[in-house]
Amino acid sequence: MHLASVLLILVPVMPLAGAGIAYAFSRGDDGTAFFWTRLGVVLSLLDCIFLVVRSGSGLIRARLFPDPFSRIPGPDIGLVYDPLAAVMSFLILSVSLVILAFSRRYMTGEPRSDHFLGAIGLATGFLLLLVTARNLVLLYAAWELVLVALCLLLVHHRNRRESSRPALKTWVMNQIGGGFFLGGILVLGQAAGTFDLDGLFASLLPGPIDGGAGLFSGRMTPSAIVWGTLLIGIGILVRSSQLPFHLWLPVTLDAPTPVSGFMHAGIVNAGGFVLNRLSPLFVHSPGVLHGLFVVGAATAIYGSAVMLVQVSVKQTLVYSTMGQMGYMFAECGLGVFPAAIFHMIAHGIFKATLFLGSGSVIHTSRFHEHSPKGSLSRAFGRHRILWVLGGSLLISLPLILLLSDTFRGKPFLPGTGGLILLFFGLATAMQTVFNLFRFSHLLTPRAVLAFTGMFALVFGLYWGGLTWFDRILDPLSKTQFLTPQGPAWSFFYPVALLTMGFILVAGWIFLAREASDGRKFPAVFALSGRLHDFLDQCGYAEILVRRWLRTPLESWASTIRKIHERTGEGSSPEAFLTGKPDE
Amino acid sequence: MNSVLIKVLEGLTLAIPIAGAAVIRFFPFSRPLPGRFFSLLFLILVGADLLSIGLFRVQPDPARFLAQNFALVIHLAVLLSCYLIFRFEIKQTVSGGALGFLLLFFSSGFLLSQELSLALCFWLGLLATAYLIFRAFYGSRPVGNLPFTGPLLFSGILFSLDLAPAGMWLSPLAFLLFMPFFPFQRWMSFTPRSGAATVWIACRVVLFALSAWGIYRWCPLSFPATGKSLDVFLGLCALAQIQGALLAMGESVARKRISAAIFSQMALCTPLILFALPGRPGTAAVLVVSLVLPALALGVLADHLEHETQRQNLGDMGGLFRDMPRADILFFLFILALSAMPGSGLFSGVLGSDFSAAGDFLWVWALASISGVVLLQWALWAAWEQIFLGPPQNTALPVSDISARLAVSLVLAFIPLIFLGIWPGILGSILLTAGGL
Repeated sequence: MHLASVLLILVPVMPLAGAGIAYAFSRGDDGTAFFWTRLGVVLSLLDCIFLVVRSGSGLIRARLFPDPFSRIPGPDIGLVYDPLAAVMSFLILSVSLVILAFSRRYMTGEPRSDHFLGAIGLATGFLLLLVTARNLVLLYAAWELVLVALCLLLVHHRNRRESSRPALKTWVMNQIGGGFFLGGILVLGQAAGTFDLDGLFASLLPGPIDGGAGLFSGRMTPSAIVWGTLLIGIGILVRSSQLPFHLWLPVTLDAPTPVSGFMHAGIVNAGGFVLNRLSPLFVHSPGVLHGLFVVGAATAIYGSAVMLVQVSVKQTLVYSTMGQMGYMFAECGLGVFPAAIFHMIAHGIFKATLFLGSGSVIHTSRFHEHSPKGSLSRAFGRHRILWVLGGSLLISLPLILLLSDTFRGKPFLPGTGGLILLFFGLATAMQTVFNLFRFSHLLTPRAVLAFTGMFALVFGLYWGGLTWFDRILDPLSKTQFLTPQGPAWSFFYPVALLTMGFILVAGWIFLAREASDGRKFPAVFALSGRLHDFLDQCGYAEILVRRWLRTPLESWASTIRKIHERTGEGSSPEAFLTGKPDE
Repeated sequence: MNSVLIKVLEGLTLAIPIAGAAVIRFFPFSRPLPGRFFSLLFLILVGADLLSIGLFRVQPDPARFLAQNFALVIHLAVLLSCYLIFRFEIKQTVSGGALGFLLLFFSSGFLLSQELSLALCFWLGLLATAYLIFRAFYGSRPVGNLPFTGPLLFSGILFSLDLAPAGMWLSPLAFLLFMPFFPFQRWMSFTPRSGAATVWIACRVVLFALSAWGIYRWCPLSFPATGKSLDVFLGLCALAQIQGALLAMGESVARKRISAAIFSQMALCTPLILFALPGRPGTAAVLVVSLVLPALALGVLADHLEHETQRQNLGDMGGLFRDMPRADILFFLFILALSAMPGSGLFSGVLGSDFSAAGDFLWVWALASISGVVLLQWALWAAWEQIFLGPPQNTALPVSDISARLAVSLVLAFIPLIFLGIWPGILGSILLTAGGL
């Protein structure tokens, strides 16, 4: 085995080994646990740097185990290090390092903090396994193991049902998604005869695919691709907390702040990565991609709208994540896979920063209970710029994405797809602006200046980043032109301006209602009150799920148990003869 | 030379259990022999099995029945189960351990039999011993409970029909009665509330594994390629699996939930083992091992929990992670293994199974199976959450963790599950290169 292959295997192994040592030998000492876990992550990061230098733009492969699952002979189950894996590895490892350093101080004095650090190492290792896997079964295994590590992190406060119940909910929802994911893998693996990604993609090449053959033909037919991508897509939607599978994410806020940061920056993003990794499959299934676009756009609007009515900082960030993930899915749905990866990385870094910063804001606010409204800016202190930076990047992403088309000189988002994305992008971006407006104290000349400067900076970075990502990820994950050419760009900009104007007017009404307490616009006030209740209850989704899914399921289970007990009692011959129940 | 040695090993496989049972039952010493002595006998038998596998790798002998290494894998699973029954017999002073040895004797005889009439005798003895175990641990009635005794009686009668050519088509039912196969699964999903849960689980495991062997060896199932019988068979297995999973969700008693979960996974494995046996004994062996080990381990842990807390309802437990850290970790690991998480032997065994015999209905079965597993994962995780997490329940009794020895044993039992999960082909390569099947 080549040195590079060995080093590739070590990329996920080192954080896992560090976590294992931390679990086994720390014995309650978080210093020891921190040392070993961080050592594993740092070594893995150095390993990644070496691999990037060594491979250049090429691929490195490594074999792990023989493949007992594939029907046709192929390569063993193993790992691959390509630009996509490299980019994601750097994101995961850098976020993990930051989270570890933060957790070291944050968890000091807490019981089982050594296990907590070890669990972060485990999650990091499994995520690295996920991004380097080149076999669908290994990908699925890593996908599920990440969930196990996440749930271990969520139940860190073991004596609290408020922690363990959300973890159970997370487990159940994600296992439902995992079931869909597994179903999709089985469909694709059965059709292609192999679970190896290269073999799978090779089976998509133009060849004797019988368009009339059905799902059960045992060949890579169009229907097999559609069903496979549809099922995997649903699994991904669950992990990324997209509508209607979003209920698990908002209930996880009882977990320690570093868990939230890691989850929102690295784990929820995993769905987007898988979508990009399997993009050669998904582009053969435009219907599924369009479905993802619809779901993503709907989630972006939903997340952004619900975010408006949240009073908790962390809760606001949760719905912001949902919205951003929605954007990412919308981008993927339009075939702009490299942009989605760039979006994911930018969102991951900034969301981690916002989550880690939110704790100190809450902490400061707690000690200034009598602060008058609007004085939170003082509580932010040195984090003010951080908030502006993070917020400005998040809200400007969709607009920048579209404006960058002009400078790129090519239709990055052609036709109606771009128009729809512009509409939803602007809606959510303007909503975020209004949300920021609630912190009106931030809109000082200095902040506005900083905001504008950051906008320009981010614009440049985003435009450059998109171009760069488009280049380095090609051909692994490239922009696809899935939508038909639509109206000309001369039509595009007026529509964009009209949309922006509409949102501005709606936003002004909203703010006026807040300011006047309903005296000036009673009808609008009543309507927006109902809307507020609707959003505050998250669209009554929890109630609907309880009524239509959980309660019937538990009722069936209870009925089966009762039937079971009834037929078990009094069934002995003596009980039958004497009429007395069995003991 | 090898053939002589193998004859000796066969003799040992039969002689040691019956001798153990006889010594315990008929020769009561003034000072009882220590438990370690009998444990040593089980260890000798394990060694004999492993030596047999090694011998047949060196010099395959397809003519010998023991050469079928799959039988040895089943024998190892049966050995472990019988050992646990033996331990609980001593612990609960039920019968001094004789029944465990007797069950092992009849099981070994059934696996070694090369004649139908001999196999029938051993099978009848096995059923009678199972009944005695049930009586000793759970049944206070002279004739026991019908849900349990019924299948035993029917099975004996149906397998006897195998001697008559006209009755052969009914004989598979003799074994299907002990596999989760709708509608004959009633007795398997039943779990007594008193007595040791481990013994009940071990009994089921023994009957399940030997039934798979019985079907393969004495009355192979044959499904016509054009008919729908295979689809019906798959559908009935899926129904049993879903029933088990829903039952696990609905049960509020810890042992019953675990037991129902094991039943559900048995139903998942039933068609896979039966399909795999003719051509891929390695896959069948992976499934059997991956099912037996977590099932028995969870049974042991459930008994320990009940014994320490003096409670059975999940709602009455909670917060045990403080007092039982070892049990907490091991329970968590084994529920992951039982719920076929990726990386476990069960996952690899299921995914590595050969589905080519099934037609389009395979997808309906796959859908039902995945749904069943998801429900099961829900039920098992909820059980773990209710037992170990949350605030501790008020209890006057001090609770203690599992012993270090038991913890080490369970960790040793867990390692093969991971190994088979990563490299499921290992058993296949051992069995196939032996040339036995």
